[in-house]
Amino acid sequence: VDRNGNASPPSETSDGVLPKQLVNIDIGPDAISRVQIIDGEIVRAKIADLAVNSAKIEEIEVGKLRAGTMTANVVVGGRFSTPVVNGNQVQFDNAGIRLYQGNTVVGRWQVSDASMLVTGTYLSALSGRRINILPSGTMLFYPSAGTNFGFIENLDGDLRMSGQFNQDQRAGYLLIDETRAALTYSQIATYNKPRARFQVDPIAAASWAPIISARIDRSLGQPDSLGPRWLYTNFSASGDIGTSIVHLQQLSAASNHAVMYGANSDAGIVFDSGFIGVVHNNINPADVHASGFIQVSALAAKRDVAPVRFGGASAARITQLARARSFYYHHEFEARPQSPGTMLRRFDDEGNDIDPVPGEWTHPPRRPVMHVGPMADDLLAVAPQIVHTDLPQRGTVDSGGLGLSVGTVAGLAYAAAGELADAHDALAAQVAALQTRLDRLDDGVPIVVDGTLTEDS
Amino acid sequence: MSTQDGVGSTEIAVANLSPLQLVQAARAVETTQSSGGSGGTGDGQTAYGPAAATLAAIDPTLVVTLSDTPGDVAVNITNVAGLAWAAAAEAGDRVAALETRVRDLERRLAEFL
Repeated sequence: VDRNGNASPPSETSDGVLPKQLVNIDIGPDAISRVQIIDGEIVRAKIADLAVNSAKIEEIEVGKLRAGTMTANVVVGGRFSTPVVNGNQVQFDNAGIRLYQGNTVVGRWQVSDASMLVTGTYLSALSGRRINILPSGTMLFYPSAGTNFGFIENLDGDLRMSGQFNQDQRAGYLLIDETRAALTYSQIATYNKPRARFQVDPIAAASWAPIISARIDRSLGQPDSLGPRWLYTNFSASGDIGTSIVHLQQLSAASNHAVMYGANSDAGIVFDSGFIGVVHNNINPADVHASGFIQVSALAAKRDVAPVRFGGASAARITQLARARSFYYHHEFEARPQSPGTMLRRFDDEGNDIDPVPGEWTHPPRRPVMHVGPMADDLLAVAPQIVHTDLPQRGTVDSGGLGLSVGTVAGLAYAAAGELADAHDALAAQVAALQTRLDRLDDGVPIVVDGTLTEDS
Repeated sequence: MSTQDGVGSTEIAVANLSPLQLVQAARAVETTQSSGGSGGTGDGQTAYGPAAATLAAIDPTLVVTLSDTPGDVAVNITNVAGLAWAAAAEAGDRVAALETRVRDLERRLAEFL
């Protein structure tokens, strides 16, 4: 509309702003300025909804934000807090985040030391493989499926760590308290009847199990000049003591032989094919000291029991055909076993390597002691049934060596004594008969026959 | 106990005694195992054999001196069996000789009669 009241044709576009009627009276251009508006007269109803934008606001008193949602990319404040509902509240400020139940902080993530307080159950995930940390201090380790969990249990300051139990309700667990550390396999529900346990306590390291094994790894070759083995040794405050040791190992020279020996005592036991050999540190036979040797002797344990006969020879005859001789063993005159340059690895009180020491495998010579007995070689010709032919040969572990059972030697001597007693009785009867016949003679000829078995009789 | 292992193998003569004389000089005795040990099953068992001390008095080489109990001596059971074996052989020799003599006496008596 021009100044003369003539209306022009409407514009083709309005750029989204359409003219609206502001007042009900005609007001000319620049007719109302700031001074014409009375203070406080633009009331809430005179401002259109959404008409005030951030450019029109200088300050906001946040105490009047009472409802709705405040959305902002950045909110800066001294402390954020939820309203207290049923005594519960969350606070968030420069000190950290705090969860309140009444006046009690039940959760906190503290800025100063980054420490976190979670008094409820901590869940690393809602399902699948996860960890739950319970308020009691017990941790549960869940598998990817199911609820059969392993756990680390807080036993009033002591610990029990267990794996999942199996279909028999058993599992392995580690118990650590002020008296011991015990690794056990048993029922988890009651922790009774341990099937196997290894325990360390103030005075002992002990094992309980149906089978206790020492498995020696030979895949690593020769750890030292003596080879893979089980080793017993002593130690003191200064570390291992290089003496008083026992070795148990499989002989590399003949893999079916195992030997247990005391290096410093020069004595050992060889577990051979079907027998035990008592030996020095090498494979030479050694003495056995005992109060007796008991041989299984009941008829129930035997077969082919018969009077002693070797072909036509009696026991007494065998003792004559293969007469006992006195002798000494070769090895009683040979050098005593010495270590093959063996250095014994040692450890200090903390388990660190300390200087090794040479193995004390030299021994003073013993006085050779004469032996008495029949030779197996001789008996091989007259009574081969009693000769062992599968013993280690002298100086080797190869079979083919000859030997005799001392029980059989004593048994043959026993049988011979019986036969000789029979012979004596028969002779005594013959002599008595002779005496009787001579007594009937009355010719005065003296005959000296007294019936005794002396050379003078 | 084979010739492969032995050296100095010889006829047995200990202190100028034959084996039979030796077993007579050191006759076997009956003993009862004392309970001085650790309560083994041998305690109270009766045993028979020559006394080591008696054998040692005849010839010390017949016994073994135990290193862990100084002064104590022991008998090698293989030697006891071997000596019994040798004594049996010797006794067999003597019995055979006596048998020969008795047969001879019987023959002479028969001839006399």
